[in-house]
Amino acid sequence: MRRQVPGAFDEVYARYRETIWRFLRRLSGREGVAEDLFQDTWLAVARNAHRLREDTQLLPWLFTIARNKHRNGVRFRLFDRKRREQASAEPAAGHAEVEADADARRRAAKVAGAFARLPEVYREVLLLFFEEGLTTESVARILELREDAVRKRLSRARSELARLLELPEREGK
Amino acid sequence: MIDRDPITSAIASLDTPPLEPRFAARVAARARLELRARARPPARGSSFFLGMGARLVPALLTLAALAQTAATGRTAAKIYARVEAAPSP
Repeated sequence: MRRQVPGAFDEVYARYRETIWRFLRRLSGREGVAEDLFQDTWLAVARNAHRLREDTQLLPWLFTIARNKHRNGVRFRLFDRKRREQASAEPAAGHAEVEADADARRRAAKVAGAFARLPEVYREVLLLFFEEGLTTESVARILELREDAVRKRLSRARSELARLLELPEREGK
Repeated sequence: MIDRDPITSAIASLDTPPLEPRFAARVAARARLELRARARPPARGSSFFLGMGARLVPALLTLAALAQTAATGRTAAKIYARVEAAPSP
């Protein structure tokens, strides 16, 4: 991509578009916002591909752009506060797919609602580490934090999610 | 290996609507346009004028210096001529 080899962008896009979509969709919690961020992210990728270094790790770089687009959006600042207020005030209405088992539906909705009530900084670190399986080193690079700060944030995020889900906390990690 | 504790399971259970294919294709097309715009070479005219300017500027500066020197020389010659013509004290 850095050398603008034909087809390189298409290959990267095909490989990572679902990953970036999943991250932005879960982070933002809203389809319309996620679509705007997704487009902004890939346009930024196209504009800045020439700045890639030989040793740049592609996936963390993509996540960095996506995460920064989410954080920097003016709409995000208004949206995140409103989203959390709404999530607290209303019964949790998740986007879980319909399942035959009513209990499973309730559990899925509870998880989605609890996740939606987390602050953005907790959601992003949980998604990057647990969902995308990145190392704390990669997460630290994306979030521009020290590694120990990432571990602390992960610990707090886990505790907060456990509290919202009424789960027993686990030590470690 | 990701530890399958309740938190991990909870996060993994979050449902995400799939990426709509037509939307994905539109985004890809726009991104390719951006790539092509960056890859386009600069207009030939602009590099021609830049090249001309790079050669002209030093030449103009040299001419200006020569003109200034010549003017100074003529002034000096006039002064010298007057001094020569003036009666000696």
